[in-house]
Amino acid sequence: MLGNYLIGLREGLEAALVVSILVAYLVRVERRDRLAAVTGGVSVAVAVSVAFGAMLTYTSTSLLRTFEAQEAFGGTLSIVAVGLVTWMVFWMRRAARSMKAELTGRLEAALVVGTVAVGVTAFIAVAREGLETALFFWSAVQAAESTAAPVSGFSLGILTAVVIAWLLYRRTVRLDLRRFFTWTGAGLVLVAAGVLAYGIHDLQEAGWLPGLSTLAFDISAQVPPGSWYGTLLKGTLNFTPQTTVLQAVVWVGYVVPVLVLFLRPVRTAARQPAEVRSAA
Amino acid sequence: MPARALTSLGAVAVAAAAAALAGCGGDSGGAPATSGPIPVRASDSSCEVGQTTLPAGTHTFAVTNAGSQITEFYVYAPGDRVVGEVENIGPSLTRNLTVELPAGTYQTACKPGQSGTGIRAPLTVTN
Repeated sequence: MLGNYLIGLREGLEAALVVSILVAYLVRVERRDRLAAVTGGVSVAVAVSVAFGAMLTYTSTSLLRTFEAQEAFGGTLSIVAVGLVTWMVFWMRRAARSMKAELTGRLEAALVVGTVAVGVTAFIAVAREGLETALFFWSAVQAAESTAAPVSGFSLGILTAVVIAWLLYRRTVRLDLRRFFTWTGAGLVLVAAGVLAYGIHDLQEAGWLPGLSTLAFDISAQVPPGSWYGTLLKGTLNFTPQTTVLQAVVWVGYVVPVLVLFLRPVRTAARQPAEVRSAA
Repeated sequence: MPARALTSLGAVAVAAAAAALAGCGGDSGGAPATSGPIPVRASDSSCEVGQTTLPAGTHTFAVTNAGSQITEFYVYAPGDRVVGEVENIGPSLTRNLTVELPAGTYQTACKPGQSGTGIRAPLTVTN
């Protein structure tokens, strides 16, 4: 029961956090009408994952049946997700600056591009782990003939992830605008860095990148993957207690420049009108 | 406008997923599986693989977790190169791993608790 609960929590947490930030963002810029993009992205991702998981479980399709194909699929989505989230974070930063300058027309223009980006990001955030989660779900359903514990444990885990994300949403949505953008943006950068490191590990396991057994550190004794805190670290930041040198290097190489660029002071519109116009 | 954006977004997403899937599935042919899945019984302290000698081709391992910890199942080529893995096998679940195995010597491994080098056993694949 507990093991399956933790799997549900871990698989659901990252997607739930990203989606809750997207929702909080749209609410903060007072564009609740664009929430349909998030709902749509999530729904399509869930539908595709569940349908495909069922196809793999109950039919003899050869699509994505092999380890390599699943790895390539997951790895590709991971890298696309990192690109999208990074782009979104900087787009949010620009939009925040536009709002400050009360350039509503320019904000509107940013939101047209933004709606598509928000929808696609919601889709990728869920689809990335969606297939793995759906395969797990269907194997739990199959086991339900003998015991319902796995299905209920897993479902409770997903539910807990959604509740955690909802509590975080309640908290962030009340922050003042500047803090809101800073915290959610920095949070998204850390999530994206974890996804990138995870993708690197996938490619190492597939043998496309070297250094699978060259570990930067191994603290699996201190942070067991099966523990609740190991689950939370894995679910939010994709932190793995056994991290390879390449993963660590890529993680730092992503986080440091991106956070520096993201947190650099925003020049105000009054002083730099030309800058705002070209950036927005 | 949101509805239209949404529809086209959905179409793009589905198309992208379909393209990715089609691209991935292309090379998974190989020799057909000779018989049903090979049962693997993984507990917290043991890893019983139903067959230790196999003909070359595509094989499916049906890994049942009889333990209390989350487990993983791996097939390693020499040098610990991962040929296939299935993660997140929760207690009392059975999950499948399908791998294409050319002739050679391999190792199977269960990793109860998802850490360490696993409980290993040799696996021989003949022509």
